[in-house]
Amino acid sequence: MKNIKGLTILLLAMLAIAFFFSGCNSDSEGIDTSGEGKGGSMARFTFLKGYLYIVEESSLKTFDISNPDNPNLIGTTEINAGVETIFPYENYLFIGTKWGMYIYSVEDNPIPVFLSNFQHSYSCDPVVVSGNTAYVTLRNGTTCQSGPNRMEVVDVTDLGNPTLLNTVDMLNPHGLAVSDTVLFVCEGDYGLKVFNIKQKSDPVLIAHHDSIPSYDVIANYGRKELIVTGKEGVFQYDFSNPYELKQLSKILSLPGNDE
Amino acid sequence: MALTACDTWEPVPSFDVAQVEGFRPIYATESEIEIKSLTAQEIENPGKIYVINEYLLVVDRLKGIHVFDNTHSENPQNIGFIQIAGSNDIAIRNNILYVDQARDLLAIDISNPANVQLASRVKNVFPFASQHPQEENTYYECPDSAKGVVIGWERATLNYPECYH
Repeated sequence: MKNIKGLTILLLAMLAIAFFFSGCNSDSEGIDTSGEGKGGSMARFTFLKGYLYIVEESSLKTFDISNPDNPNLIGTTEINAGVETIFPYENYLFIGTKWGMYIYSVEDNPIPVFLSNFQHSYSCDPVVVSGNTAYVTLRNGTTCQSGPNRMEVVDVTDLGNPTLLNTVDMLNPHGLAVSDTVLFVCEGDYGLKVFNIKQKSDPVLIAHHDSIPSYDVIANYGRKELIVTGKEGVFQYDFSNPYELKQLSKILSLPGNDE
Repeated sequence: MALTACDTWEPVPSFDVAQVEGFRPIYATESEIEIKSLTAQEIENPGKIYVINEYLLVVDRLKGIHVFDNTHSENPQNIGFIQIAGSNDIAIRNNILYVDQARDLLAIDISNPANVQLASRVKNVFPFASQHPQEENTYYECPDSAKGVVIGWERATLNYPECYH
């Protein structure tokens, strides 16, 4: 008798769980994608002040999206060959190129106005900005084996005249993300690094997770969560204690794929 | 490993090379470049990531976009796939997904991911994408329009390539 009673309770519990999940599925028709989203530092598309900015091989394009269904190209700003990434910060666009970081202003006009160019040796590089400090990673790519692998810390207090504060040797840095006093840097096949940047000009390495192949990263400051993408898939972490990332989940890619 | 190096820059490459590392075009047919919603798929070649509200989107390079409900980040739910051949980059604002497809910029209404709608196509925003690989100083197989639309490039060993960038 006891067994039957136990079984009945178990069945009821399973039914309740099944009902709960089917209830969730039934409203998966529409999703809320209102507002503006956020990409990683390797992004070539971004929004700023209601406009869509896109970088392609050698230029920065401005789209009026006041009619969201119909993006309207209103300006093409020629930059240089080898344009790779775009990062919005306040009224400014920071462009990562193979020849250095370019800073543009959209303060007064949606068409970007050139402010300055911080040059470095030929390399591939995204950039993120926090406060008055920009973090630029340089990696040697397939087209230039002799390029350096390092991170440059650049003072952008004067946007017209960025100055180098520090350089940090890296292995093969790709995307990066900053969250208050923590900086995350993807090292490609070499894993993910975490830096303490309480002193903005002097990043201090606090952890190197060499088992996480990483290409780009998004830090969700509100949730204190990190989303990392790499050739093995998409991994999420809780970084409320940045010294000890806690894995939340992993979405593995099909095996046998190379970056 | 690529063979080119910055200090041995060659302005005029030799085209009389029997075998060399380079790039060849990836083609898509007219039907393959159609934008459509599919059921959830596994990720083959993860690319860029994008977050909007409770959703996480993962680009599968040159194939399309995986949509995850990430309300519970310890257990993201794979809820669908948007087929966009040739896609690399995305941005979303007010239910419109902006995405590249080879040379073009697309605006796609994704408010119902099970039935996305192409809203518009801006042609030739990425004029070079279909002409040559982004990498410089490299050999590549010249595109052949008879084979379809070039949506990307892949590394390959080439025999007597006739194009160089």
